[in-house]
Amino acid sequence: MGDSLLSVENLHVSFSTENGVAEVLDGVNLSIQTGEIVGLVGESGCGKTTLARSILGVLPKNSAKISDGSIIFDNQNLLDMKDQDIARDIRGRLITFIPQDPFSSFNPVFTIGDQIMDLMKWKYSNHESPWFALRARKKERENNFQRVLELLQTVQLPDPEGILRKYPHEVSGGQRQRIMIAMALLPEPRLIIADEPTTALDVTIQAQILKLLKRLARERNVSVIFTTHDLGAAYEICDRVTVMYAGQEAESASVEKFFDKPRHPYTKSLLESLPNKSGGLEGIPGQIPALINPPSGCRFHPRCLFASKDCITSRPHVSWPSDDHMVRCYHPKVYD
Amino acid sequence: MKARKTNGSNTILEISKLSKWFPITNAWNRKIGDLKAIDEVSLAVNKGEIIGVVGESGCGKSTLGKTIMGIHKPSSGSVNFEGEEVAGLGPSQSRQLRKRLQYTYQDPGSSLDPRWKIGRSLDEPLKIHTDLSKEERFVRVREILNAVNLPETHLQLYPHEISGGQQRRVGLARILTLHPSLVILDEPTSGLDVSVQATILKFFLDLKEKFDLTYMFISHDLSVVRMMCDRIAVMYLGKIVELGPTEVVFNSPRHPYTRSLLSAIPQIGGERVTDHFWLEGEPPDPSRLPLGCSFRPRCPFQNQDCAVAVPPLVNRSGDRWDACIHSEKSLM
Amino acid sequence: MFESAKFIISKLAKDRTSLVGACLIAGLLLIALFAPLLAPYPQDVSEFHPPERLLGPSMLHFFGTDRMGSDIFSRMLFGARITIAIAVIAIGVSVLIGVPIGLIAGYNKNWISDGLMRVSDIFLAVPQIILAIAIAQTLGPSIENVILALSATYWPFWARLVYAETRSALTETYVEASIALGASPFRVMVFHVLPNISSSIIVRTTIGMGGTILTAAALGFLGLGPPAPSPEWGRTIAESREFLPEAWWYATAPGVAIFLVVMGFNLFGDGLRDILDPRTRRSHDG
Repeated sequence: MGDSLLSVENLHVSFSTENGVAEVLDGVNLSIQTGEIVGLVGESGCGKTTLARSILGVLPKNSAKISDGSIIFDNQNLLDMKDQDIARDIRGRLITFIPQDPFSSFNPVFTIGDQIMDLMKWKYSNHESPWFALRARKKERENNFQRVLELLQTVQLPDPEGILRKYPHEVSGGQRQRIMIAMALLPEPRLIIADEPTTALDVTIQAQILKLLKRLARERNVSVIFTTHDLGAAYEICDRVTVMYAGQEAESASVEKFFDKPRHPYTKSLLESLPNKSGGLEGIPGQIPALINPPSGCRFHPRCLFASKDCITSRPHVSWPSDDHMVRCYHPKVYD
Repeated sequence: MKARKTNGSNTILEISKLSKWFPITNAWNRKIGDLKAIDEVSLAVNKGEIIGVVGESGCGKSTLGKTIMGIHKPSSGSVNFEGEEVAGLGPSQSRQLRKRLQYTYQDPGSSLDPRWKIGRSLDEPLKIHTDLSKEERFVRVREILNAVNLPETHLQLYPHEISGGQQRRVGLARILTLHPSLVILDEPTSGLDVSVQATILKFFLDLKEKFDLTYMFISHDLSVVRMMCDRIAVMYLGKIVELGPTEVVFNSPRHPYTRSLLSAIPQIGGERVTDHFWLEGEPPDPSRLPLGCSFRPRCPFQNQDCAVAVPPLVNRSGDRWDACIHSEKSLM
Repeated sequence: MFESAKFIISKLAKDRTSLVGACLIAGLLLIALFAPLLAPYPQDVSEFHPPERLLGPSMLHFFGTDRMGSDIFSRMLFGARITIAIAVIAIGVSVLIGVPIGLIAGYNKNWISDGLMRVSDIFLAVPQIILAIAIAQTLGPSIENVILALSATYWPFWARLVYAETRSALTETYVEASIALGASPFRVMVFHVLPNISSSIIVRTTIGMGGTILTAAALGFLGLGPPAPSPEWGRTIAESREFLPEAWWYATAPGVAIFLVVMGFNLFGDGLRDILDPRTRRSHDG
């Protein structure tokens, strides 16, 4: 798609489980421009986390299989790379990660400072001085330390030096998430993948973190892929939103169009089932399908009021009702 | 301090100055302080209403539910249920009294013994509390299964053989076999997908009608609470800071914490929270609370009067209560 | 049971080491059961034929003869009965004492629980062999006293295991839910906790069998077990000492028998643990 920073094309990922092979991603497309914040929303099993992990290259080696597709970052296909060192350079430096549960990303027996400084060594070493150049290495360490402190201040952590001396369990959830944001910004990335970063947080802390993330992304012109099942959070910070269902992307639009004029039946039903002031309780009948023997064609068809024969036989192709609005449906809603 | 009864309906549950403190011990197992999970909470629940208890982590709402149930023994205060004092009695001592006061768990699957067939789990409460014969118990169980829309074949299955949604219904069915009058729902929608949530909530309302239930709805999800609850109680660090009819509180919150809490909720289609959210910092360490009002360190409206004493929950008008000494001033 | 017996058996069948173990155990049981039929010289358990003493292995006497001329092979078969009896009864008694104590100690959080655990600590501090010697000195050597010595020192292992498992089971939500529903402590312990910790108990029992048999044989070797002319395996090894290394078959037969049986229980127990241990087992949710 033109000059995207990252473009995922026709990605097929499957997981082998005890009960069979689950088709977790069924030919998914996604693209993101420089400086854009894109939301990836969906309910459980939609594949948003798998997509995020595919980009990062952290799918479980034994059970996950990428059977088709490409992930193009800066004109290089991450899946294709003969030289895996380049891929490793990109992932972790140009593409970084903010996890959902910051607690398990930390080793509980080392201080936060120890762990961050350790990371600095191989994420952000500007100059690799030889081992005997002691003074040069000392200077490097000090520089690194200063940079870490600066970043911790940028994420509005009070007393950054004190935090570095603490252990992970001594710090609150909101503070840990701020540290993760700082660590994600450390190597000056071009893209940050935030996987449900506020799901485990209280709503007031969520508001603070979203505000912070949005500001920092804009200031540093960093793109963000923000996965969440909370549509409200996506509304807050995303420029564009893509919704996924059972491993297929259904619709992608600018945030205004997505929430105001959704075209895909799933998007519409999803938005309508949110608790709202008028008090209506409209769920979507049926259940999210298992991915081992998923419904054919458009996977939403068993629960869709508008499903027709086409929907069962083949997956709807991509259509563009307008420039920044993509939908995959044989019966999209039409707004005049 | 008693809340006024509304609509002339009866007060089914009355909590008076209920506290639950957990001792904090240092490495040598010596007590160095108390964690006041709930601190002098008073609340009256009316028969037939749905009262929401909301707050963020550490506010004590879950502890409140468990203390009322007797899962935790209260440190002080009273819990009066249907006219009988139940605080301080262990669950087996107060078996008879507690029969009509029940509690649902956040994770419905884990509240069922994984080695017991579902039929046996449903039979258990009747076995404990009633003298009914095996056949009579089976009739009741079947009745309940119908009411929650589960097929009789499920009686022969194990919990891990049914879906999460069905496990939830089994958990509820088990409670309903005793025909309770008050059910405490602890985070009933947490972990649920949005599309499923609405169905579950409708189900709760259905059951309320069928079985003439009163609900205490403990949740951190404010949008859900707004839809379901008649009244809400907002908790912060172990105390109720605001109490009143849901719509009224949502439209014009009085306590500064309530205001910040409500302003943090994203409103799709409306203004963005992140543009003007003002609350900073985090709740203090609950074992080392500041003097006076616990919200003071983060409150933009505080002054030195706030440090003098803990503001009590006061009835300002109608059915509205709040615990802020400045709430009556204009421009709040 | 949570995992149906079918599932367990099918998993076990796939694991070769457990199969070997199971076969060895089955072999032991069959031998013990059918000893009178299988033994070529069943009367040699009590009779002796001095002229035929210390003959090497042959077609007539598969494992040779012992110092009294009795056929070692037949005596080994009957010795299996003794071994099983000691192991099963000793472990059975230990379990019957240790499990309830562990449950009660685990459920209570007061002086009762502390007291019970201290008592079990005291018993744990006594080495089995020393206690067995003391008992044998006072009461005389016999099967019953071996069983007594073993049970008295073994029950604390189960008490401790059950105590730890009970404590952990009590934190489970479904236990809390039952208590909230009004279940009495007895009901909770017997119907909820016990079934859920039973797999640990079973695994420990199986693995414990191996150790028990070994200890029983050791006690027999020291002369503390059933007296002559009992074909008990440990005693046979003791008897053989003065005739080694010439009459090598005399010690080898019981030695190998003990080895096979103990290994059988250990392998089987290991396999069972791998299946039943919740940490290694994969969940199979619907």
